[in-house]
Amino acid sequence: MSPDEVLERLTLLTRPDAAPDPAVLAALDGLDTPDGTSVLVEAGRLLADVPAHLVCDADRPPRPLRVAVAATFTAESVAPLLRLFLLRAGIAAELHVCPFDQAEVQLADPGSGLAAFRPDVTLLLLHDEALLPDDWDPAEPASLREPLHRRLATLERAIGGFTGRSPGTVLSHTVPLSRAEQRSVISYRDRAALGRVWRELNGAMLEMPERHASVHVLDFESLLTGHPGALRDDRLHRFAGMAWSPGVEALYAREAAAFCRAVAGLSRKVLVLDLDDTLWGGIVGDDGPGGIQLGPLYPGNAYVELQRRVRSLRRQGVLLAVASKNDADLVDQVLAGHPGMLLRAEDFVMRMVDWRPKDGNLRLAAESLGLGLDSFVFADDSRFECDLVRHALPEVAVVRLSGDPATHAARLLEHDHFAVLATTAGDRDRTGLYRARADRRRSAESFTSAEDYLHSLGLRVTLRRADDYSVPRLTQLGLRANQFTTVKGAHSEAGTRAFACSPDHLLLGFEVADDFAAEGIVGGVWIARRPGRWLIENFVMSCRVLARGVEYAALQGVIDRALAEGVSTIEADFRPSGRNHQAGEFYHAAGFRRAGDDRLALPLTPRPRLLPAWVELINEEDTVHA
Amino acid sequence: MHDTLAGLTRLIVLVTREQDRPITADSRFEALGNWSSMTALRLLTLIEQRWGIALDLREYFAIETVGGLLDAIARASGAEPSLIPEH
Repeated sequence: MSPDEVLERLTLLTRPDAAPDPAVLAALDGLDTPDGTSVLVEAGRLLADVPAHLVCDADRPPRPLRVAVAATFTAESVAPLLRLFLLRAGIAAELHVCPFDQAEVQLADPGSGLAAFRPDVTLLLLHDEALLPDDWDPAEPASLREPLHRRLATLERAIGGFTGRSPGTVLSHTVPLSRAEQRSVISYRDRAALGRVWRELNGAMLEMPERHASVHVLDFESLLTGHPGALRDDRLHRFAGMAWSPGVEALYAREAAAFCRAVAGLSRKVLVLDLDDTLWGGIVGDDGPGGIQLGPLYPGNAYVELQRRVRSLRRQGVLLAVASKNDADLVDQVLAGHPGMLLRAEDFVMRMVDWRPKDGNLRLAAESLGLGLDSFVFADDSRFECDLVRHALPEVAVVRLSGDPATHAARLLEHDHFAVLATTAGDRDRTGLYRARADRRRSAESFTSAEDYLHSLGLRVTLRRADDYSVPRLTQLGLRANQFTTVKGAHSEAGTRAFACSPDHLLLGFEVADDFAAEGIVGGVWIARRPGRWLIENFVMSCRVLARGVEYAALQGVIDRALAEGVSTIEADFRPSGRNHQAGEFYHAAGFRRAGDDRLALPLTPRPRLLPAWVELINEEDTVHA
Repeated sequence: MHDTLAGLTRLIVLVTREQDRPITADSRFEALGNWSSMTALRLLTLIEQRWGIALDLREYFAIETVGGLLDAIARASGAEPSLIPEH
């Protein structure tokens, strides 16, 4: 689709009688080139007047998110670009743009428009002029250290004040120093000094997340090293106070959209890889295990590099799977014995090596892992396979690895599909946990009834009050769970932290262990304690432990705690999201009945008995909570 | 030249959302609906990316009609390729 055609179709969509046109969003990907940003900006502006349901698939409604843009300079194009990139990522953003040059005031003032907007995410955009004193002495760059330090401290106070009052997240970034500032110092020694004080400023900026849990920092200065154009268009800067060129605005908007995706819990979790000409060079069926390209020399080293990057994803919790049309024996040989392979059989949770269509295999993989296809990334060199998956499973992100293999690793990581706010220690073992689950399935086949099988597992569920160690994992579960969550997105990252410390609230995590593996924390319950009545604001569980009665055991633990405090009724909120019907069915099966719009209630007399016979419940005493 | 006029007209309609009156070479920017300096800058970026040129802002803002802008684009893309910024 040509740029004119895309814009024409978007214009039609702004009319009151417009018919849905879900193909148009995907067509915008083709325009995302360094010279195409102005067209993307206009597309984003048009999208502001297009109802989201006209451009999104009816069965995959976009998630709402409130995003504010606060900049120290005129950044007209960032909001429209964000709207577009976010919609592409499945988020229908409500955007608020602060008056330019008022970023700090808006953050600092509790009565500002920004505060009233109550953003989930606040994007803070900074430029060098806003941080540098007007009359700094190029002969004494080191003298900048002190004023820059003070400047950042003021900014940090404004940010800290804002995050203290507001539950949302703030994204700041490292600030690039413009070429003119650098060149205006003529001695190499002083230029080095200038570079040093400027990096100290950015270094201090990068430390902010250590001090403020709801603040994140994008290393924008580093990201710009891969940008082909200039930081600034001096004409637009002088004429309209635009500190970033259109291309840089697009780069930022893309990164900010990836961040919002992580905030909204839409990070991808599974990477499905083809083998021939993807994980190694050549066709193992034709060339034999000894003939494939994989080793220290080009092009074999390009495939090794890709494997290295894939392995680091795995180590941070991304699940790997293989989808390859191949002879399984040959593939097993390569995985087990090829000296060039960095990835081995145990790095993958699933291997789909057969001659069946890949879309069907992906569907099966999603089912058996208990994960949605919208958490899948599919990487393949074949145009046919990529188009097939794009067409049959539009919710899967497709990365086509064609052309020179040396570019493949970068291309796989380019769109930051797997970016999350934080990883936890448990992420490192995720592959093992999912593999244990597959083993469990195999073991299930030898039992005559499901219950026999469950009894044989030796399941233990431990319910424990959240502490400093478990809050990060519970935060992550709250953000990531899509299927077993009673109120998707009920608590932000900061909200969960506040919850854990509040005396009127109780945040419980539960762990599962059986004779095969200890799964660690697999779920959490967010409870508001009111006299005589508890309200479960959210109940979240990882899908990988479904169908074992774990959720009933956890709820039994909650009930027992409530009874011990003299509570007579437990209420629970349930908000259907289109994906969380299992959580709703659970409440119903547990005996909850409707008590309001999104509200359910369960009387505690007589004491509900929900603990399955095959589960041992360990309801841990609360240790003294600071 | 005719293709350029058609392309330019589309861009002007896009930024101004002018639906009612047809845009011709004689149309004056000041008379278009929604015309402002910000609209002008959006149009400038669209033109520069589409034709791979860079215009002098003083000259650009002095242009009054669509035909005048067409001439400026032709001059920048034909006679003075040196105006294209170096990356």
